[in-house]
Amino acid sequence: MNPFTEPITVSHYLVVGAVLFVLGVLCMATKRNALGVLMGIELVLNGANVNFIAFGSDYLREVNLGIDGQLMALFVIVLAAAEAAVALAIALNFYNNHTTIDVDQADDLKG
Amino acid sequence: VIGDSLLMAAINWHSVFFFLFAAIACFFGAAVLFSANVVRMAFYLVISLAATSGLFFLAGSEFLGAMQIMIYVGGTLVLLIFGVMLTAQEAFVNMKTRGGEWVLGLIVGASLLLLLVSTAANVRAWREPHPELVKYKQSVDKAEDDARDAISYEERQAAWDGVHQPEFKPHERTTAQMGFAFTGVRVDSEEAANATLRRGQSGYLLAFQAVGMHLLIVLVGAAYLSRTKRFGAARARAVSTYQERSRTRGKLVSAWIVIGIVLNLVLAVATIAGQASFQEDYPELLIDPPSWLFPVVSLLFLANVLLLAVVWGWQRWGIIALWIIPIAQATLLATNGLDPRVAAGLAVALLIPVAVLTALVSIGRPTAWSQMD
Repeated sequence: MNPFTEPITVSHYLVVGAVLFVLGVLCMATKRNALGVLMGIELVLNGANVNFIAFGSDYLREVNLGIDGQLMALFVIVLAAAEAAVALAIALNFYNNHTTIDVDQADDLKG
Repeated sequence: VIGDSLLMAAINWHSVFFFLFAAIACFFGAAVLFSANVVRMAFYLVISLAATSGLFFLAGSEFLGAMQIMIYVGGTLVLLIFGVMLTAQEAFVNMKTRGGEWVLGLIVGASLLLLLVSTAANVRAWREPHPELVKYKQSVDKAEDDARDAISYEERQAAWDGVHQPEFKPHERTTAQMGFAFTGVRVDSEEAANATLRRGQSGYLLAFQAVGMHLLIVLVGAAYLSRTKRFGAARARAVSTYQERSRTRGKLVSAWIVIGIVLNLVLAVATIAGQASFQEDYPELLIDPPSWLFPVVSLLFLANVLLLAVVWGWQRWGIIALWIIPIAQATLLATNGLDPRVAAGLAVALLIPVAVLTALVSIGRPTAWSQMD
């Protein structure tokens, strides 16, 4: 079966979304740099967006979410931008106080 | 005739571009994960996000595709790169993840991926393409067969002219519809069959307002949090203590690791080479072993070599794994026909050098163990 002659389905999009999600989660878990963790979060949100778009697409399924899917994805993008701004501010503040952005050093609250 | 331009007609270009963009997005997503340099990570993330916007365009969400590029690539990424610039210190630009964390992370990630992909691929409603596309595909297949049997050019042309053109729900002005939805009017569902549903779909006005307030508060908060403070001397001191500390290893430990590597290599070879003679000399000790047994034991000796290299690289988990491997070898041998007493003796004989290594890293000041990651 030649994949280039078969039509694309929602499953294809979901697999891409799953791959981006897992890469993002791994990024968040393994990076020691606070900015790397932030980039992992961006990847996770992007994976979720791919799913929203796939379920809202007119070309993938006859019964779909319609523009609700796209609107949800738009809200996710906006919240991701806001989250990046705040997280970056926190990272900068942490850097100012601790002179490092290694998240492993952020253990002041450890009991 | 091969090289016929009609052959290309069977290719679904939507699928081709989907696979192209999906491959770019996933590849550069993985590059973000595996790169240790923050600046490169930011660049790979730009490419991954841009390729994702290509996927959005392909799914018919032009507005979202454009927003993805404008907000993510144009806004968020610039923000991240500013973050890199403001915190750039040699020690932070390249921050390596520890080996043990990679192993654990990849195991967790692979199982999560397996779960998600098997779910995505096994729901029938998601696996079936749009019915119009199925019709299109069938008519293309038929036209291909007809064109192959055709004699004249006209016949072939006629076969392809019969291809079903897919018809989708009228897809127009989704951007305008989204704009109306934000103001509380759902023009896209005015003709919904269900009157109750029609009334209930009141749009996203409240959510829109909430997001607007959220953004305002976030911007004020971010500006407040990231205001500059100056700690000249304190910062310099802290940076110098953060710099990669130099680690010292006793000569005995180094020598023992090197001896261990050599010994394990010898044992790995000897296991394979001595297999036949051992079975000849002591047939009563080893009762019909499976053919994979000796190669596996030999491979485990080679794993010991790797683990010793890991210990050399200051990783604690190497020592723990070194304790496990002889036990695994002895268990393997005992469960596959070797006399248990011999297996136990072997385990003890192999564990003694590991115990010596553990003792060696625990003496001296500072101990090698305390310096390990």
